[in-house]
Amino acid sequence: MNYNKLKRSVQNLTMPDDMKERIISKCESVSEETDSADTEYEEKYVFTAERVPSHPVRSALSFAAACILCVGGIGGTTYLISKNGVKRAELSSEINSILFKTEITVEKAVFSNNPYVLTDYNYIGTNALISEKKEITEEQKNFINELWNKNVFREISKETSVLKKQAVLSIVSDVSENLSYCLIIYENNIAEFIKTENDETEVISYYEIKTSEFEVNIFPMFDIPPVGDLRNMPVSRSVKGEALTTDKSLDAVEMNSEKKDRLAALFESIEWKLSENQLTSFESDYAWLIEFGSYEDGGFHNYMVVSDENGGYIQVLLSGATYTYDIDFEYVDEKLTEIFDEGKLFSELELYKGIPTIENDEPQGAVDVPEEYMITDNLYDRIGINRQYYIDKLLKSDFISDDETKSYIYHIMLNSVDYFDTAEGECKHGDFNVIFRTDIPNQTSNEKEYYGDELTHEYDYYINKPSLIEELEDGTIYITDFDTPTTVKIVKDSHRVCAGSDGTLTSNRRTDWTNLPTSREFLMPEHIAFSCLTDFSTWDITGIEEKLGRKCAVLEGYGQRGDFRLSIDIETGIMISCEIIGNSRIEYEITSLDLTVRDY
Amino acid sequence: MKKCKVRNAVETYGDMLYRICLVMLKNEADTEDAVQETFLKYIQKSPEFSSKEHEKAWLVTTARNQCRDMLRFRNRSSTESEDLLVNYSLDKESSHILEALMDLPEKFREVMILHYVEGYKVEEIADIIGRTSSAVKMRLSKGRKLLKETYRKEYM
Repeated sequence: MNYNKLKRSVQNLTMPDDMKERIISKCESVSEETDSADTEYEEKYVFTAERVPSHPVRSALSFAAACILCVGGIGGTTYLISKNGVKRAELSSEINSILFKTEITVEKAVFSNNPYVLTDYNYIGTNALISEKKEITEEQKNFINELWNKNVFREISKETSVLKKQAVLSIVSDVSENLSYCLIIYENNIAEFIKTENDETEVISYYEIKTSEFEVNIFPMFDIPPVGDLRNMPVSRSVKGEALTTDKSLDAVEMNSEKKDRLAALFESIEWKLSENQLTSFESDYAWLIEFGSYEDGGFHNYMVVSDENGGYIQVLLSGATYTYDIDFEYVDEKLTEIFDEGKLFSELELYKGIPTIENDEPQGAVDVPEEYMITDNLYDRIGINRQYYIDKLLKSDFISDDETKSYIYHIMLNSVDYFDTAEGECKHGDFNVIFRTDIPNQTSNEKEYYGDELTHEYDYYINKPSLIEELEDGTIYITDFDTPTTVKIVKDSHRVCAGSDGTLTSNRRTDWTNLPTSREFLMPEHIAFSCLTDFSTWDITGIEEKLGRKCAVLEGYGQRGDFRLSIDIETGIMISCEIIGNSRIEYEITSLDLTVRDY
Repeated sequence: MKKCKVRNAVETYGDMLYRICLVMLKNEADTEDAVQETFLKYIQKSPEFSSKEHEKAWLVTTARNQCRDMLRFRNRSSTESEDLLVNYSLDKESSHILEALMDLPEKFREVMILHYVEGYKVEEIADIIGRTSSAVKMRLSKGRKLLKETYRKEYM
């Protein structure tokens, strides 16, 4: 092998000019913001370390991830709250109140005058969806009020606010049943002040938080790592293996409620201690990966890695922020082994017991799909779900919300790609209009994303490959042979969640190649199925409606993101519309659709 | 940070980060995200660099960590290497070598490109990926072996 040739070959891979310009443009705009903010801080605000009388207001905040320099105390005690946690201050230093001096005050009265100030620890993308409200302590409330008293917020323009990134904190004040206010703070010190009245949400103002020291993690991301959230998480999985980074496949276990409870109990029994050595990347020869959270909005996951490296640690990632904790690894490893019972890997989803699905076992270690796994016209009725039976049942029956019918809806949403060949249309997704087209047999797809009249992205995919074979080392094989559409391997529902060959947990589907970034959420709505529908007790089929000429099942229920109402095409599983009412209302819908249903 | 400094950094290191990320992620859209995120961190969070080499190593490490995070929770699938490379003017042999490289498991790909393309020494790679020098040597050794096998099997 000539490695100089290798070097020359790789060096031919140069960044396209248009990509370079996009990156430069983005970086320059961010740089401009940073420069402007930094200059202002330098000119206006001074940190003074002179001795001052102890502040009479606050006592210690007993959390670890606070990131603002501040002082407080009762009876003369002064605390320093820094990136490394809260500790008693060595010096009675105080940030000069001028540090926080700004021109405009946020509506602090909204929060300080209400008896309940609620906060939320689940943040998904930049939407900061409120899924779980917790009453904050009086101390924390006082702390927030104190910040507002110091005028830490400076109003900025809406245009500047588009730079907001990952939300790190949202504070909600419910004034009444129909009126609430919310302050969402983003990681780059941008904040939004939002009013929600009778389900109508309005951003009243945008703010920049006026100090470079302020990193807004006033509250810990977790009380302790994910205990509070775990039981409510619809999709939770665990893997254990020699490495998360080697080629060896890991076994995944989907957690049922009993496992979640036991895991939560374990978490509660652990003394969580932030490690002084906060790791920035992870690699280990032996580890547990416990993953839980929502697949919504770009696939943010919460996960924990438990590893024996460096004497045992846990890393917790929540929406992009990672914390490393020191733990007793041997104890945790033993308990995790007990909880997940290695002998029962890939256990069936409890919900699917007794519900029609493919009866055959998955092939073990096979490379080619045996004939018996190929679904043809003749075999389909025998080993697949009888789609027509459920369609008839949904259209005719008055009582349609039984678990069996729910299971069918869940199934077709997870496997919608099995039920249509082409789809073309338009959908509305937040502020964007998306025109999409996918042709599964011919393996082409295209999506154009518009913001108003402006074309913001265009994605075009064509895979010149007669078949797609996804092989996992645990023997599960997924094959798409588009030349002969009747040769289709349906993925067993309990195997939809799986560990890939590099240890990455994935949800198996046959459509990754389409890579449609936005319309896939409608056409292959498995993310929302996983995040909202896994627990059949939290939702119902409340009726049938016709949308865009398609018969749709109306699903209504509640999940971690709030109440939801979905319209699902009962023939294909395509999600025609999605409405989620949490702290704010989110509505996505397909506005036009031309569909070719696959005819088995 | 001055605008010209941003532009200089992208002009100087953009291609290098691009090929590292592309080889790691095997998807152009992800690569753009990773490179952009790396430069955003560069302008927002980078330390004072003691030298150009320090700066370059920081960027490589950041890009590599960014790629690994994206690989762990990626939404897009990787593109088949032959489709990924179709936009580049490559002769047949170069194309085959690259395809063989892309077929290597991630942990071998990254050390191979850092060593053979970017010219980092074993000890420097060990610092970048947070492993011991002996682990890097093992990966290089196995990477070479796998690359030869793949190349011969597929293209010779």
